[in-house]
Amino acid sequence: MSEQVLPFYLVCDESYSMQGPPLDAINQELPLIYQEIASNPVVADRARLGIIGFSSTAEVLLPLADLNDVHSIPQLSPRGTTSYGAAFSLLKRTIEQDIAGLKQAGHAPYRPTVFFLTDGLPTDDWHGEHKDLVSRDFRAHPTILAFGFGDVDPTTLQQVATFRAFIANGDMSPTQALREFARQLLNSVVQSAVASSSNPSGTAQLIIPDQVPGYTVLAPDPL
Amino acid sequence: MEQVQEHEAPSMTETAHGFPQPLVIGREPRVISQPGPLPAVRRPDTEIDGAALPGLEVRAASIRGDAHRYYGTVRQDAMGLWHDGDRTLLACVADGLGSKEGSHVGAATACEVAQAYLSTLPIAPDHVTDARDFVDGIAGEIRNRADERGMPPEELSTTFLAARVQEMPEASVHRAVLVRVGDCMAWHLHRGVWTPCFGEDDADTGVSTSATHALPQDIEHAEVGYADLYPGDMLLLCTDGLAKPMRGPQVSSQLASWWSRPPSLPEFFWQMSFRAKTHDDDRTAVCIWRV
Repeated sequence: MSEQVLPFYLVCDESYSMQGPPLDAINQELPLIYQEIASNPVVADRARLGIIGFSSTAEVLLPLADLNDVHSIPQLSPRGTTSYGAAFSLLKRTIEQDIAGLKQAGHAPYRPTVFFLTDGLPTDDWHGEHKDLVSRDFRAHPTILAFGFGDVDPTTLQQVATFRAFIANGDMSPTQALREFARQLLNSVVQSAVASSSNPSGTAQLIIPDQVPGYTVLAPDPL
Repeated sequence: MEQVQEHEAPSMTETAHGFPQPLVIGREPRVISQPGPLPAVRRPDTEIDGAALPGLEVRAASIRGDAHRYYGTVRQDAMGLWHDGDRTLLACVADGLGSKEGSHVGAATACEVAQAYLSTLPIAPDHVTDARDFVDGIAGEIRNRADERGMPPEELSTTFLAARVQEMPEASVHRAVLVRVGDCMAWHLHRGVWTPCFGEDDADTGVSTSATHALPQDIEHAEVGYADLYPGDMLLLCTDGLAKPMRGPQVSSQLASWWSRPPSLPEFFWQMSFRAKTHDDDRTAVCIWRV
């Protein structure tokens, strides 16, 4: 049976600099995000959330799955350096496979949305992998929202984002800022799913806040 | 690893013994099919209609989607039937765009006023090529309705599909001319096989989009289609709340089987209430059988 699917990916920096409060906060929030999604049947029916962690390498921590099939949530753990290239390249392969799989099963997937979370400068040259991921030639190219805090470079964040970038402005502790990030991710999944259910004929499916407490909004790099 | 709490579905209202629940096609949706809070805008959850006309049987239903029921929001689909008492039937369906505040008004207006502009659709020759006057007249009425409410016209945005079905003299055929703006669909069911009356927008773009043309703004995007109905044939007009699940062969073949003949009104409502995961939008269909 053909289902309408809204794919979301959390792509999370697991480099050593994320150790402590940032990863602890994300690990605490993730199960709550899934619980919240599951508590709203309209959202749970159509939203799918996958998790990719990256440091020196990248791995799929939780495949894009229907909530019916998610019974446990992985924990993010600090390791290695910060290879954006590994993250973007795995993300592209994962999206390609997921979209193809969904279509093969007869489903109608919408354009994926990526929440990219990082706290530092990439240690590799990642522009080629990023270009492949967001290129119009890649038909399922995702909409990317980039969230940065810690030592992150605003210009890098703007280059990563295709839609909007958010940079922590120091008003909040890292724990609070990460909780806020989690809340935004959840709201976006819920509101986008609701909008697409009552509005298959409408315009934008993706509902993203203009402002996020504790973060400064940056436009994506026009290049 | 932390455990995720299993979601507990609210209990379904008890039904009378032996009364069949709506059919679930594919995986069981989490969204329950039941009314929720009463919408602030008063408009019935469901409309059912039907008619027996010379050579034609009509069944029609416009049903609020389970997502709208869950949130207690109003049905934005609308439908309309009109017969001139002689040889001409007009049937309409419309789907108000969900993001717009007055879209249910736009959809209802389009279906209500369409018959006043029927004469602007050329009758002969067989093929109408220009439906602009027809949709322009309807768009004008939607703009007027927006003015009365002090709303910008695009707040009443709605897709629209109309079919004029005429009995041809001295022939067993009923000829349908169809006009649409946006993603409503029309199919001709002939010997169990569905044929779309408009080119389907199935361009493989990689991912689905949800953009559509709508009235009152997109009058230049009016499309025209045709169908000749012979005894036993059926013409289906529907909003995307039915068109989207119909892309699944399980749904389209089930409907073809159910609708090989006109069902009773309660049967039609039950059939139209089938549940399919993620297909929780308003659903409207007008079925016109050539009998």
